[in-house]
Amino acid sequence: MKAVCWQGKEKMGVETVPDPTILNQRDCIVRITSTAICGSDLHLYRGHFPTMMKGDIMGHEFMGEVVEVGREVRKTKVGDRVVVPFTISCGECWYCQNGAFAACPNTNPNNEMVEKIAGYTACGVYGYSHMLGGYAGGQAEYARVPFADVGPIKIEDDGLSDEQVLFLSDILPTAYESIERAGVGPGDTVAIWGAGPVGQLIIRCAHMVGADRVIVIDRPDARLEMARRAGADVINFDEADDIVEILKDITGGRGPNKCIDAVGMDAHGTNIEGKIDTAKQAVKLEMDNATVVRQAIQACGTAGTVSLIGVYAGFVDKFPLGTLFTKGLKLVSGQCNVQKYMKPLLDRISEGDIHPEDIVTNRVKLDDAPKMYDTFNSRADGCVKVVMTPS
Amino acid sequence: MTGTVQPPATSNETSRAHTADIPHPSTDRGHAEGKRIQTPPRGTIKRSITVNRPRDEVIAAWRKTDFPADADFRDAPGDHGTVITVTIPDATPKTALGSAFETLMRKNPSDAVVKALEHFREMTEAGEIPTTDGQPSGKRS
Repeated sequence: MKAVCWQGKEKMGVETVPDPTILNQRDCIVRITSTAICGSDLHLYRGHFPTMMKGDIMGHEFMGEVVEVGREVRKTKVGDRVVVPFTISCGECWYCQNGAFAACPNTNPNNEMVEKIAGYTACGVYGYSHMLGGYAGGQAEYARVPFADVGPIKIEDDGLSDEQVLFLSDILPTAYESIERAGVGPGDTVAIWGAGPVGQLIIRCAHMVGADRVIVIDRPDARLEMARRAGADVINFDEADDIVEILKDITGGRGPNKCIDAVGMDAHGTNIEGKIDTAKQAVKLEMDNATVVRQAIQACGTAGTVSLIGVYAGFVDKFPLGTLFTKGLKLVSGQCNVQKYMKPLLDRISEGDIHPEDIVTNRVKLDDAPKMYDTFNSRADGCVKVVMTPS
Repeated sequence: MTGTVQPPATSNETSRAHTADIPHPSTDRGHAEGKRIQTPPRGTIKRSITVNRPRDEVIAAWRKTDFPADADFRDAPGDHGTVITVTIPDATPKTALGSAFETLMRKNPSDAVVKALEHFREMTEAGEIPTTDGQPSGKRS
């Protein structure tokens, strides 16, 4: 089959590789009909996320048709049309049974790599480094899906297109959980750093739950314009000398009470601190660029909440812990527990309450993946979200 | 012209002062004293893992393994299942170990204990050990 493979920093290739097979009896094999490039794939593309190996198959947002099931698969059937969550979870551990699917300790063959950094385990993730399991990803014609009865959600309604439901695999639940963790609701002012795919869906989720005002901060005009059309007030980083003061000013001196970091480890800070972070990242003295999380903590209104949903992998410098404490902020974070949200969000899509497909800007074939990674990475041509079809 | 300004309401009327709801725990721990945690003797490795299954089920599953160490079992707090704790000498002779465990032991005894316990939990809870052995990949070099 054809698959998009990581070949090194800023180098992707479409290679011919063997088809996947059932390796454990709770697996199924999915013939992929649609797959997307996630903003977090760019952390791998840029070479900032550890434990990638040449030849790794990329992709953790995918859906398709089940073509084979293992002997222990009871619910999922051959022929089912399914969306696959990016988190691989067993469904049997205490965490899965309490909705914390991303904390499942039973699906990462390389748990020890995470334990070295975090002290504890993390679930496996498709196509996202060996630290997170080393699983082959879904930017391919076929994918092996472990725990087939726990993760994939069957799409019964043929009237729903792939683009309408594909983002249930990651970015829609991710966006939703970021605001749920922050407790966003009526009366809230929500500031979002990052108008990428997740940021765009956070705007829509925040409106869906009744937020009073949404403010988005980013640079690319096309992304800001998409955010504005979705009902957000927008600020261009490049036009703002001091984003914290601007946010304070436009919120009556109180600051947004809910601040969401949808950028993560690859922030491009243009101030002195940001440039120092970028330089340290380049020489591996610092794993993550903390520009956005610093700004979010500085900007957040007293007694507010900062929600980190952009991916961080390791350590940051100059974390404003004193500000966090003095202002009495709540800091929430973590990988999304996708399985928990797929069905309720599918219902909201079916009811027409949210239209995730609105953010798709580029529709290409799998063969175009290397070029599209470059386009997505450089934010060229108004690129916000890339969806690929294998054939 | 003089107007009348209403005095502000007292804080008790308008704020949430003094309103925290402090729960009454259903379990009665009374004034039970805590205990001094015993650190493992030097030269030993002590590791624990929690398995989301009842104690009798965990013990029965454990007896089917060839784990080369005695284990202690106790109920985990909060309905989390069963805690297994193993303590082994840091320099256990390799001949006393199970084959898979022995292979791992050559790398790092502490890591090997954790890995073996994780495999036990994976088998007991999920019914399988996660693997990527045999999956496709592109060119590795």
